[in-house]
Amino acid sequence: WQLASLRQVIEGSYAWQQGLSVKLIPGYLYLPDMLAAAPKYKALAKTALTQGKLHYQGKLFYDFQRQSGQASGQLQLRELTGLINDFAIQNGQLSMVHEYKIEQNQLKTLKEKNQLAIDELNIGVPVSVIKSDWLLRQGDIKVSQFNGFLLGGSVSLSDFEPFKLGMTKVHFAGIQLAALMDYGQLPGAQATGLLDASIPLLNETDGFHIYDGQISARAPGGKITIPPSDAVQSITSTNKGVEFVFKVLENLSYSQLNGKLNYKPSGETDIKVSLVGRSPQISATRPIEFNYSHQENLLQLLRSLRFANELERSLEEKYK
Amino acid sequence: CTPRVEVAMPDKPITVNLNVKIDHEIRVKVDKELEQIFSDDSGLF
Amino acid sequence: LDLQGAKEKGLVGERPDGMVGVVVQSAEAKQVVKSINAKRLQAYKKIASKNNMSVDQVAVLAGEKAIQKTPKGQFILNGAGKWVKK
Repeated sequence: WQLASLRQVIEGSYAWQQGLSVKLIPGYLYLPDMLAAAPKYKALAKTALTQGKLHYQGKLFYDFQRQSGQASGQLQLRELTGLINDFAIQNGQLSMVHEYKIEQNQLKTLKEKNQLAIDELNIGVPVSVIKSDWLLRQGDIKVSQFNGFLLGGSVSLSDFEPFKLGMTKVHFAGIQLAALMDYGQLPGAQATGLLDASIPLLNETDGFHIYDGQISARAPGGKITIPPSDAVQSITSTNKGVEFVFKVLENLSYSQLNGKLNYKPSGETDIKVSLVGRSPQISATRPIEFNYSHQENLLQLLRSLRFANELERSLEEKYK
Repeated sequence: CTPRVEVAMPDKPITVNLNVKIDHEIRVKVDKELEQIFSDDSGLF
Repeated sequence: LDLQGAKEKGLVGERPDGMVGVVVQSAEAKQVVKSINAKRLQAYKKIASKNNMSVDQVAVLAGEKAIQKTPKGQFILNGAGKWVKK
């Protein structure tokens, strides 16, 4: 039998011996063509794949007398590259290997291995070397393990069920303060020090919340140096009482950094961090207690970073 | 002389606060402003 | 001759860089393009500085919008640099 659609052909064979045996002839679908031929859904508006092959194979045998049989299938997605909506994906690999036994018309899972690996996924911030294992349970996905690298450090979580209410711990390790400072776009700003965070991600009826995620710097702390610049000048000239703060930030060594992060489904994020340290140019003896609070919509930040990437791409194409 | 025990008062910390709030409506704002430029009475479209 | 008239007559068209361009060479068309582009550049600069973006970024957005709003039958400059009727 043959199934032809979206400019691809899937072939298989079936035979009647003692029971029905259906076999899918191993082959592959070339995703970019498939997508080009597929009807334009709003959700896939910006999706444009440049590479991606979906290899498939599978077979099923069913004995009517004994009402038993077995089925197995494999889906392997290779080199998925391009844009999925406005998320830039670089070399995604998906592997799904399933084996089932059928007894008295009951389907029993013998083997189930689902893995997703992505070299780089840019959600506004590039996340690289993503590895994840997950299971399918009656249409629900359970991510047994997820880890990746971002901002100079790593992120990991386990036993996460995206469609079920409940809490999952997300761990960030060794995030570089310097990488976060880059987003401040203050020319010449430098920072050292590594941050670890343990974030309780709560899936509630109205979406994901974070209540008091813990952030802390690893010993021995680090240093922040923000030299005077036009950018700093424009901030201090438009905000009262900020002049002295940037005097301190010209050279602040911190031995402790602790903070809390809160997040709402709308994306509104509230970070409160306090640093304890020294600013030699301010006082040789008195310690500095620096309290920093940051409010921003994380979803909009990521979207505007993706938008900036998109503009960069369209500018590059224009002036290639 | 009797040894004088001097408890050095720890120096009082200098407390500094910085509150930052960032608004991300740029694309929406730019879009509105461009809409105005290309509106009928602007003569620029 | 104003911009609207020039466009309807097919003398002038919209470009992806947010500027208008001459489709059919004529002194009048050149004059319209020159004056409109100068005003547009002024407006893009103002928007760019207000939202701390580069003028280039604003111009690319403006181009996208202008081409989108161009009615059927008027000229736009396509990706290959050719004037085509929408």
